[in-house]
Order: sequence, then structure tokens, then C-alpha cells
Amino acid sequence: MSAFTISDFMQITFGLVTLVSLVVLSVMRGKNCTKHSLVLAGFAYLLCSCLVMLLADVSRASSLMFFLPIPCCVLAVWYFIPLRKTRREMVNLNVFFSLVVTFIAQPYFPNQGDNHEVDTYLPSYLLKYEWDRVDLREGFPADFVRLDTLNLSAVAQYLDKERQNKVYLVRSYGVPLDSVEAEQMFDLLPAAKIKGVEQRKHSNTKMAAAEIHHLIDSLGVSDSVTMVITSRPDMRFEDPFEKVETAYRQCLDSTLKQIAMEISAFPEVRFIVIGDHEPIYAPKMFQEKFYKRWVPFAVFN
Amino acid sequence: MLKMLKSRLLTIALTINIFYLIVCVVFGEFRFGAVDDYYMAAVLTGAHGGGFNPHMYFVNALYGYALYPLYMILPKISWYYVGEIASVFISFTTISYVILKKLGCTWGALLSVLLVSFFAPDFYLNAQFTQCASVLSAAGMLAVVYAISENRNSRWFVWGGFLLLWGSIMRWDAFLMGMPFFAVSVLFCFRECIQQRRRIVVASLIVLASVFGTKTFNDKLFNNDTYSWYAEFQKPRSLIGDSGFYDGDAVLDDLEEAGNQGTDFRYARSWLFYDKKALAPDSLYFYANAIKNYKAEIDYIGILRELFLSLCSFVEAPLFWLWTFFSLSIFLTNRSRSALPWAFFVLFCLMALYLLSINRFVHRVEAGLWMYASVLSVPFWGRFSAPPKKLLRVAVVLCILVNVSFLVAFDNKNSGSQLPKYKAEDVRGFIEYTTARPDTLFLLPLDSYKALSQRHLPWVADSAGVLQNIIPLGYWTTYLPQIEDNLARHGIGNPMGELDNPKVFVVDLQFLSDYMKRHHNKDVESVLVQRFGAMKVFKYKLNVQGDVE
Repeated sequence: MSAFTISDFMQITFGLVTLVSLVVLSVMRGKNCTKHSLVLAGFAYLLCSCLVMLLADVSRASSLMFFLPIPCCVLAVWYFIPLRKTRREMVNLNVFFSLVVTFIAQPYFPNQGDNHEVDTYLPSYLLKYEWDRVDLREGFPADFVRLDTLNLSAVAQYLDKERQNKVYLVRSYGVPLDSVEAEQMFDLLPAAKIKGVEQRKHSNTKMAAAEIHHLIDSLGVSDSVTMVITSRPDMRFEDPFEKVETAYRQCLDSTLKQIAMEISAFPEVRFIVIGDHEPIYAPKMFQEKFYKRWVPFAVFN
Repeated sequence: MLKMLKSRLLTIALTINIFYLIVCVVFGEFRFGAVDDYYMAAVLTGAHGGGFNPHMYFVNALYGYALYPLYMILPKISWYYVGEIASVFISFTTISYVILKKLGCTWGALLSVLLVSFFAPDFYLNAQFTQCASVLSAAGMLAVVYAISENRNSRWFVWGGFLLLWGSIMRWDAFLMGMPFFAVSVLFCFRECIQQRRRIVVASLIVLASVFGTKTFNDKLFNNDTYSWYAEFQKPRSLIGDSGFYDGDAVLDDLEEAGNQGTDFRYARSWLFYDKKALAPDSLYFYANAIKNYKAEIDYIGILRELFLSLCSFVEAPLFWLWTFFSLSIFLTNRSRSALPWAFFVLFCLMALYLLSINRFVHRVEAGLWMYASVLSVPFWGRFSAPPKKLLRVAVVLCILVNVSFLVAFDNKNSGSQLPKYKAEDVRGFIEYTTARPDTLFLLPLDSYKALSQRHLPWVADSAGVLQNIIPLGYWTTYLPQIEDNLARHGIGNPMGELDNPKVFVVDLQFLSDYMKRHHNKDVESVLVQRFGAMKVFKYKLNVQGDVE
């Protein structure tokens, strides 16, 4: 449940105003009154803009906002017909006027149906972004820490300055979409102190390693931290799906088992295991089993 | 009597336009709107060597041939630029003249002033071939439609046809962009068209023949052994360079994981690809394939939203208000033609949708579309009733206020072609340095190469051969036959592979050592040789084995 916002308040107000003006217009329609056309035009405009505001919320999913003024104005004009012989130029002026006002009003009422967060580094309107893989889904394990700092700062947060630290950058270690599989991500490792997932901006190993190095340097703890980059699972874009799956599993499992042995062998050392990216260098079908640009991390000892 | 009136209106139109041209000269700073124009002028005068060369790639070669005699007489002046300014002046004068003829002195003068003061500064001060083409075509179409709708003398046809031809020469696409607007406005005077069918058919045949003739002529010039490859190369260049319709980060990630090609892709993306071995056009095609996986799928709802947002942002553009005003004039004065503004609006939206889907909806193009939509409304205005004295006074005062504020707030600082990092005198110093060393070659990345356009006003032409030892590492002039000749003359086969050659200097690129080691197996080191403000000249020297630690 989200809080009651100013925009909700505005939408409700506009909705009420719309209803009232609808009632007023209906009453006037019955009485066949001949008010000055300017007043009617004003009402029409009010009606249009209010409907626009109201319907904007309903149509948020489809964002077809842009076309709304036109049917609204048609509706408004339909109300006038019995009142007075409508002059065509009046209709034109009304529609044109509302259109221009809609354009002017947009910066001040920006959430007219446009509630997507703008992705700042992509031409968002052109890329059919895989939104369903970008945001964590509902069933995602609740006990996992979630970070979205876009660079791998989890490492910096969980480094223990008093002790020796060892960072394992596990290659192609992604977060599975399936929540049961996600729960079992760290099963091969000993019981972790903190389990979590982190979102990144880029997804390649070199960049991840560079980010970690940079963080370690900026903290001034480079003496007490060592970083190990594991080997990459052997797979290609064009490999068959089954082959990739077994290769990925085998490689990751053996890597994690090795790390697990080391973790239990050196209880005095703080271990951080973190993925660099989901398996991006695999067939598309395999990639789609993982969240996009989310990596798991776990802290031990 | 009639003749006098005619010449009087022409005088008014000329006066208004000359006044604003003078205003622009006095208050403004003339610049090219895009660096492309500067380099087309440079190619034309043969600044890269090889003498007069009309292969301007974007502008029809016929424009170059037409200017050739002028260049013969006064080679110091950039006639390419003068031609652009002249085209803007002629088009605006034509449009103002039609408005004056249509509405008479009072209203006509007011609206002409409105039009010229709103549009002209942008067109004059940031002259750009696409804009020139759209304003020329718009004026030509206006002349033709006006002649049809009011059954005027055929001289209008000749004049309109001439302007249309000129527009198509300046930029073919901008000319085509106006055609739907032209077609719609001709449809709106269908009855007049039927009445004058004979001369319309003759005129359109002549115009079509000449327009397509010039187009074929230009295509033929690029369809020979020397130039066909150069023209072919432009495709992958624009695909990778004009990015924005693919997920560059994702492509980079993939290439990095595949091997070490990520860095090279980054080079190619930042327009650094004059390496015939490592970044040859074939490998540009390789990147084009990598891009394929991440090409933007067109998100139609997203484009609709973007169209709505861009329409909203036009509220800040004077062009939009001019169109609004002209459309309102139709609604108020000519009820029978009130569908026209809607037709134009729908056309505008359709074309904007198309341009958005190919990611090409840029300022110049929008300006062109609004220009067509506004200007072609003029012939469909009805009679403007003589304005009441009070209203007239208000209008005149408003007009003066608008113009005064325009003069005060005059500002063309945010011109696209300027790179504030480089100062004109530094660039001049650099060019003096290069011309004093005709035996060496200077390799320039995109930004430094663009900055060369800042060393003098656009009125001044680059003399032949002044840039002949300058090699752009990535631009549409890369692989230009003249530049290839210069390389061959100095005995250089592959510019980016021979940085250690004693004849080769590199500008602004300090860190190509890794690249050289990776691709050409040469251990080189850069040494700063000379500095001109932000412009630095480096020499790459081969490390002798013993020197390496």
C-alpha cells in the first residue's frame, strides 16, 4: 500500500470537478438554454482537461494519453449540439485550444500516464527493455539483503578492517529468476553471515574487477585484502542449451566447493563471495533464466 | 497602377528581410550550424589536396559546379556559405512577398515581420544545409500552391520550380520530407488544379525531370572506381558512429567477454577507425553483427509517448507558435479549409513517428517539418478583415516588444558546432605549424578535427591544399580519395598502424601504446612535441628493446 500522494489528491479533485461539470452540463442540456457560447466553451475546456486528468490514471498502463483530448472533446461537443447550432470553427478552436493547452500543461503535470522511471543511459523509448528481468520479483527470498548501488560496493561495506579479507569474484554467477533456485544459491557454501543480491550497471568481468580494485584502493585497505577471480564456465552463444546448462553447473559447483573448503579452513579470514554478472555469454534462452544485471553476494566468518 | 503596387509589396518584403539580415550581421555571430558544412566547403575548395572537388557527399555536386566560377574569381571567399545565406534570404523574401500579396500591406507586413523575426536568426546564424534545403523547398512549394490557388501568372511556377530544384540539391531527404505537405496542400485546391491542369502537368513534369536528373547526376559521380568504395564505407560508419538505437553497454560487455575487442569497439564508437588492418571496414561489419543482438526493437507505445513528450517540448520553440498562429488564422478566416491544419498536424505526427523509430528526430528536422506546416498554410487564409484601430495599435506594440526582446535576448551560444575546449587562435597556431611541415602527417581524432572549423569565420574559404597533411581518424572524410592520395604520397599504407613512422604525428591521442602493442606488435611510447592550448601534438617513438624495464 503506497501513501496517499498529492497526485492522488489532484486526480480525485479533478475527478470530482469532472463529475460536477458533467451533471451541470446534463441539466443545461435539458433546459435548452442559450448562454453565451464563450461560457460553454469554457465549460467544454474544463471538462476536457478534467477528463484528461482523470483518464490519465486509468490508462497509465497503455500510455495512450496523447490521443485522449480528441475523444474527450468530441464528447464535450456532443453535449453542445442540442443547445445551440454549433459552428464548425468553434469546434476546431476548442479542440485545437485543448491540444495546445495539453502540451503546455505537460511539464507541470508530468505524470499524465507517463510513470516509467526514465532510464538515463539508454534511449528508453527505443529499447524494449526486459523490465520483468530487471526488477526483483515478488517471491524473491525476503531474508536476502538487496543493494542497488550500481557498482560493487557491497564489498566495501562488508570488509573487515581488523582482519585479513579475501574477495572471490565468481564469474558468470547470476541470480536465478526462480525463487526456489535463488534460495539455494549458497547451499554449497557454509552458513553465511549475510546473504544478498546487488544490482550492477555494467556486466563484464573486467569492469567488475576494476570496480572492486577501485573501492579497495579508495578505502586504503589494499594490504589486508586479496582478490581472486575464478575461471569462466566454458560456453558460447551458439552452444546447445543442455550443454551450456551442464557446463555452467559443473563449473560453478566445483568453484563453490573449492571456496567452501577454503572458508572452513581459514575461520580467521573474512570471506566475501560475489558474482560478476549473470551468464551473459550464453545462448539467449539460458540468459533468460537469470535476473538482468543482478549478482549474488555472501559474507562469511 | 497594379505594377506599382506589386513592386511596392516586393520593396516591403525586401526591406523587412534586409533589415533582419542586417540585425543578424550586427548582433549575431555567424557560424556553420554543423561541422559537416565546413568540411563540405573544404572538400569543395580542395583543402585536402587534389584541387576543386565537387564530391561533397551530402550536398549535390551540381551546387559545387554552380559555384565554381565564383571560386575562380574570388577564391578567398567561401561561396558555399554565401550560397547558403543567399538561399535563406531568397526563401524568406519569397515567403514574405506571398504573405504581403495575400493580406495586403497592414496585416501582411505584421505577419512577415513575425515570420522573419522568429525564424530568420536560427537560419542565418547557424546556416546548415538541411535547414537551407527545407526553407528553399518550403518557399518553392508556397509559390506553386499560391499560384494554383489564386490562378496567378506562370512566372510563379518558374520561380517555385527553381526554388524546389535548389532545395533538392541542398539535401535530397529534406526536400522529400516536404513532399507530403505539398501533396496535401495541392489536394486542398483540387478544383483549381483541375481548371489549370495543363500547365500543372507540364510544370510538374519539368520539375520532376530536373530534380531526378540532378539526383542521378550526383549518384553517377559516386558510382566509379575511385568513389564507389568510399560511398560504400559510409554505411557501417554511420551504423556504429551514430549510435543510439542499440544497447551499447551490452554490446561492449559481450565483446569484452568474447575476447579483448571491447576496447576496439569503443574506439570505433568514438569515431576512431582509420586502421586498414585492425579496424578495417570488414571489422566494422563484425561489430555491426555484434550490435544485431542488441538492436532496439521498436517499442511502439514508447514511441507514441516520446512523440507526445516531444510535442510538449515544442511549446518552447517559436516555430510551434508560428504554426499555431497560422493555423488559427485558417480556422478564423477560412472555414471551408479548416481541415487543413488538422491534416498537417496528422502528417507531422506520422513523420515524427517515422523519424523517432529510426532515431533521427533532431532539431534541424523538426524545424523543417514545422516550416513546411506553417508556410503551406498561407495560401489557405481567407480575407483578414481590416483590423480595428485599437487592435492594430496593440498588434504593432506587441510586434515591437517581441522584436526588442528578441534583440536584447539575442543569443546563439548553444550552437552545435562549437567546441569550447579549443580556442580559435590555438587552432590557427596548429594549422601554421602543420603548413610549415609539409613532409609530416598529422592524425586527428574527431574532436580535434572538428575544431579546425573554428579557426576563422565561415565567410572565409580554406585555400586549396591547406589541410593536405591532416588525416582524420574517423569522420565521413576518412577514406576520401584525396586523403588516401596524401597518405600514399607520404608512403603510409595504414595510418593507425604506423604511428612510429618518423613522418607521423598524432594530435590529442596520448594513450595509443596499448592499441599498438595489441594490434601491430609494436612497443611505442608517446612524447609531447608541441602544445597549442588544448591541442597537443604527440610523437610515438619505438622503444628500443634495452630501454624497456
